Amino acid sequence: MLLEFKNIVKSYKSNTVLEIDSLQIASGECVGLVGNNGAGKTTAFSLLLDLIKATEGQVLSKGKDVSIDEDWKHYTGAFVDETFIIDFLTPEEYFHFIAELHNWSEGELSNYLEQFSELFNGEVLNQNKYIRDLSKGNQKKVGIIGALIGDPEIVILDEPFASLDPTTQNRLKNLIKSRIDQHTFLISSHDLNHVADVSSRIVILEKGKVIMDNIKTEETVQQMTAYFDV
Amino acid sequence: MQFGVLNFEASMIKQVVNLSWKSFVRSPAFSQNLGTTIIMGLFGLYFAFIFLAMGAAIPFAFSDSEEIIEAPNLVGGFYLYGLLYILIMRVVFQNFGFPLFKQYALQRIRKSSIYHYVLIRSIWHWMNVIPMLAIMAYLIASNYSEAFQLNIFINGVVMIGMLYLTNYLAFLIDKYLDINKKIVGSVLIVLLVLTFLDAKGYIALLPIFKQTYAWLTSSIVIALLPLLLSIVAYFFSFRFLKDKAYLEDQTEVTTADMLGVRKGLFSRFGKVGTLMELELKLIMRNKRSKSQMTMMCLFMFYPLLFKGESISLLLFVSIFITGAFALTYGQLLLSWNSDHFDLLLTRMSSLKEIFTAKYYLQVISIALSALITILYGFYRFEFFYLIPIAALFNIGVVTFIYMLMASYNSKKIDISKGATMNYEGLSVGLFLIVIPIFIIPIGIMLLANYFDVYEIGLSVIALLGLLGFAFRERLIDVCVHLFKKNRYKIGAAFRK
Repeated sequence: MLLEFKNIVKSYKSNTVLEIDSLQIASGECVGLVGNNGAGKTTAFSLLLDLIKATEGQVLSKGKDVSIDEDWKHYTGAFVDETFIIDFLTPEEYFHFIAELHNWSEGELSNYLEQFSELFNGEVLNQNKYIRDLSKGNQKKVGIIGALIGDPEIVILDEPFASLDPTTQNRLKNLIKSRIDQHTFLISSHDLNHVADVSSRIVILEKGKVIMDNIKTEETVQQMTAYFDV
Repeated sequence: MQFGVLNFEASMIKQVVNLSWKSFVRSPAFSQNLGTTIIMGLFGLYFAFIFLAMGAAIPFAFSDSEEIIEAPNLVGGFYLYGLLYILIMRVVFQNFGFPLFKQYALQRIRKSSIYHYVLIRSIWHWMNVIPMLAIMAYLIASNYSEAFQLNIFINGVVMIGMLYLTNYLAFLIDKYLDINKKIVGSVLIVLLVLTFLDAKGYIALLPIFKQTYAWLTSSIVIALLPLLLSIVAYFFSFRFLKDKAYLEDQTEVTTADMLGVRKGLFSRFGKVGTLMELELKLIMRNKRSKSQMTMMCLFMFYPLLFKGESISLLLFVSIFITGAFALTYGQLLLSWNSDHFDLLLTRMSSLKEIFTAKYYLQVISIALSALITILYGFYRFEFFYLIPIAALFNIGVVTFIYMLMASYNSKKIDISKGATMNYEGLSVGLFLIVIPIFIIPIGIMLLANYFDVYEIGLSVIALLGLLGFAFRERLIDVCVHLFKKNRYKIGAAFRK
């Protein structure tokens, strides 16, 4: 198993926000995590990234506890929120910074960035602007692409579609689909439709618990849509 | 009718005052840092007391009967001299932003009320209140001195008028002239040099200020001039706000500098180098770090204030000036990165590399400061050996104190805000840091002086530094270990 939640409980004082007995993610999957606000999506990702401490249980990445071993940092890329962006850098410098941490050469990086030109739409690179001066949408693009640099095996994106315009949403979906055999994706969204477009498997969280976990088929998507229609 | 309009205006200003008081009291910094707020409050009271005492002492400071006739003008001359410094400092450091605008721009509060509020509020700026206290104490005390004669009304009008002229002039210079702060900063350095020459008797600046002051107080009509000018300045400031105060003027879009261009300087040092380059960009491109570093530049002139003091005191000064940059940077070691901390935690940078980068950045800054300040040896030869000793102590001991403390000081800071009177991110713990930094060497020196072996005292201090540097890898490991234990707490504080 590539990733595994084992008997995870996360609570703040007496308030339990996440409770997952077992959730396993295999290499090559594209898992969509869906749930309303406060369902525990970001908490789940934060546990995966060792940003918060589990009250009980373990998160294993390639069989190793992420809170003990730092190995997962070599093969995991993530964009959860703006704390993953360094806003006083230009986008180029930001990408360069991450690439250097992965020992990538200049040439490798610029080749790699070329494939994202459609998503950037000419508004991100070579603007001679700091990230903090870009629009919110463009900042998000920078964060998402930043997560892909270093060609990580696992890519974690929290609400990547929120606050993007429809054109960019579609371009991002195409981008994710085109890279599905290169990374194992974990993507969260409060909108089932976005996730259904790209994922191979959909997990629904509610009030911290996994209530549905299905391989995506027309049937299961219908089922899930019905669930959210209430 | 006219009266009604005024009333309306007044109630709006009251509204705005009320809201900004709430934003102050309810800000997270206020309640979470109650300890810091109290300490800052005590500091404030302490300074208020000092300035009151200073002002009150002036009339009694002159004993010579010849001197005392000219004394009020001499005091006034010094006052104008000081105001010139204050003016330049305010243009350089004061943040003339209008934090209220966004919320109020769309509310049913007349814009002009907000502008008046912003300008009137500045009367209570600490840079005005502190001199004001000294002025008041000075004027009242002069009443009780028999020999010290001055016209309280005229002197008061001139002093207060000049104070508020400075206040609004600083605003106008900042807004209308839009001068590069670096240029103003260099004006400040030129003025410092001139003052130094003045004090040494090569040029005579003080008499010019003295005569100006004498002229201003020569008649009641002239005495009103500064006050009138400050009212004029007020209205120009108001005009500026009225014409220019749109939100888009407040947010500046900067074009990227060329810092990233000279690649390879740091990449030679691998990931640690990459992280160091990031820290350098952080310091150069953010308001808080930049203004804090500029302030530290001024401390480089600190040794000029000392004459013939003991070796211990000169060592203290040396530790201070060689470690000034490290002190500014080190006391908020991890807080600088609070905006992008999660990235550092989750990407391939291991914690040890982060700490190592931060350590060497401090070492480099200390070494550079030592290279520059060792020139003070030509001023007082003791600095030739005190500066290297102080630098060693900073490199081997002080830096590690900061790095250990970093695991306990987890306060988020907004690095895009200015540094003057900004104590966001500071805590009681930080005030405590300063104690070992100065207690250790001073304690050692006191002991050495007692046995009259100050050479041994200095050697011990240098040795401590050398040991710290020799075992740096181990010490960094200790810091990282401590950080790991506290990382969830620190991360959570930064994410707030």
